[in-house]
Amino acid sequence: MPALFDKLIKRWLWLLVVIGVWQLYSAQMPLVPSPGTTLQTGADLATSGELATSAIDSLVRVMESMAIVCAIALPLGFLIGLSERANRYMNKLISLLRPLPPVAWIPLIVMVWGIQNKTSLFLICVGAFFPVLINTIDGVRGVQRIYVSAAVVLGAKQSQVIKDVILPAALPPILTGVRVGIGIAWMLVVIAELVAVKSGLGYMILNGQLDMRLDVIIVGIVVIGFIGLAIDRLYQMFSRRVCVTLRQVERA
Amino acid sequence: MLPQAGADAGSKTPTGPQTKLSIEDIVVEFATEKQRVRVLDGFELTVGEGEFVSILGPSGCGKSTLLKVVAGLMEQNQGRIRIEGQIIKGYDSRVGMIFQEYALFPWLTLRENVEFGLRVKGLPRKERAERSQRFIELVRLQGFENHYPQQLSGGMKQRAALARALVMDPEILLMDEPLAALDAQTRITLQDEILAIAQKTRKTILYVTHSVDESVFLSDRVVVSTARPGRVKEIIEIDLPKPRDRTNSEFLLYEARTLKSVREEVIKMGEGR
Repeated sequence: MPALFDKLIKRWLWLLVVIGVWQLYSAQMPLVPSPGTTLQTGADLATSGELATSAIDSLVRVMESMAIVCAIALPLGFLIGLSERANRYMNKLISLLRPLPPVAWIPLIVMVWGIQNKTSLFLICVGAFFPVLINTIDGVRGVQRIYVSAAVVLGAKQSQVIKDVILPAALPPILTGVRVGIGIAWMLVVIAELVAVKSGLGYMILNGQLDMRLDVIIVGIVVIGFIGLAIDRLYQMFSRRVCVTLRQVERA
Repeated sequence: MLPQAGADAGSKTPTGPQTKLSIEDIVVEFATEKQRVRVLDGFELTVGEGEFVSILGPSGCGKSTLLKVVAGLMEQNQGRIRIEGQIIKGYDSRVGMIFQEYALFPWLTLRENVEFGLRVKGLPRKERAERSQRFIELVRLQGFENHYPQQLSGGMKQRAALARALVMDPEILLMDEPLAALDAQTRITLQDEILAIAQKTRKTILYVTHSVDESVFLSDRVVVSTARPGRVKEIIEIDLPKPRDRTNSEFLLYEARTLKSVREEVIKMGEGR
């Protein structure tokens, strides 16, 4: 028991320090809410349902964007990874678009589409697209030739080689690409809601700024952080479930 | 007792085996940016039905390339491969292959690996299970059916790969340095096993190795290949009953003769560099 207590203290000491400093700071600054006030605001936002509504709006946006991204980037990645000709057609375009920061699209897309959901989805998709695409291409290219040879001498046709060898062999890097994509999508959804759409957690903290409600902003930031963490954990559980090789690596 | 002994088991005539596999004038060239490298230069060999033939030669003499051509994994620039007189191109279901790196699929269990070929062929689940079980037992891996390749030792992996190839009932089995990545102890055990399985199943086997001892121990004939570009330098018939005794003086004489022949080519290879 004392050992467990000791471990807990070491792990969460930083939190005590943060709250302590925050408490002292808020006592001197009238604009800064105390940890207690903030906690109360958090509870109020949670019970009024505002927090859940905002969080769901943001989550739905991320899921919609990731669905769009996967629907385009996964097949395209397979095509480019498998076909040298497709690679020649797409290579220049991809290397030109990839280094563009997604936020650079904001002025253009807001001018064309205005403040609406489509605008935010576009922004998220642009950011999440490339990690998924690039990892899929590299994953498909990186499949060891020997697996393909083994399948061919066992009688596998080309379509079976793609489905039963290349897909499972390339799955770990593809899953990693989607993981990175989701992380970026979660960052960009907040940015998109600050500038391009009027709902979600990003919009909630923007309103907090306009209302000079620092407590709302802090609650928003903390919730955004925790949801991001939870998504990543859930996604990793999902990855281990669908991919045998990932489970193996961890067991070894 | 004899899994898939096949109709060919008793067809060996007393006057010598019928030709199963003919490798005729095979030429393979690799084109690099600067030059064309000739790897095989008119390789000629016939293998009789049920015969165990080894190809022995220095690294880089093209022996693995030759197996790839026979397996349909690579195209020759010139020459033909025939099975029972009939020219084959690309994959042929009568040919199976074993690789040095085992090439088991890490995302499948041992049983799923063994069933892979049956599955792509569209066999029903029940028949797949029956056949795979039979061959898993043949290579003595029962109890490990649900293990993944990473959980098996090197020797077990190669036995699994052997089961995966044999379950397809190929008439010709190509083995590309199957024991090269194993430790000496496991290698000797597996040589005994390969020999036993070869005799039991009566497969025609073309076996590539760089081990003189292995080739003399296993083969009816040892084909010594020249240094690159690979050609048949000499064919040594090992006229000893199997299983062979490594300490037997005749065995040692065969080994010495084979070693001498290969060594000349290894030295040439070294000079060429």
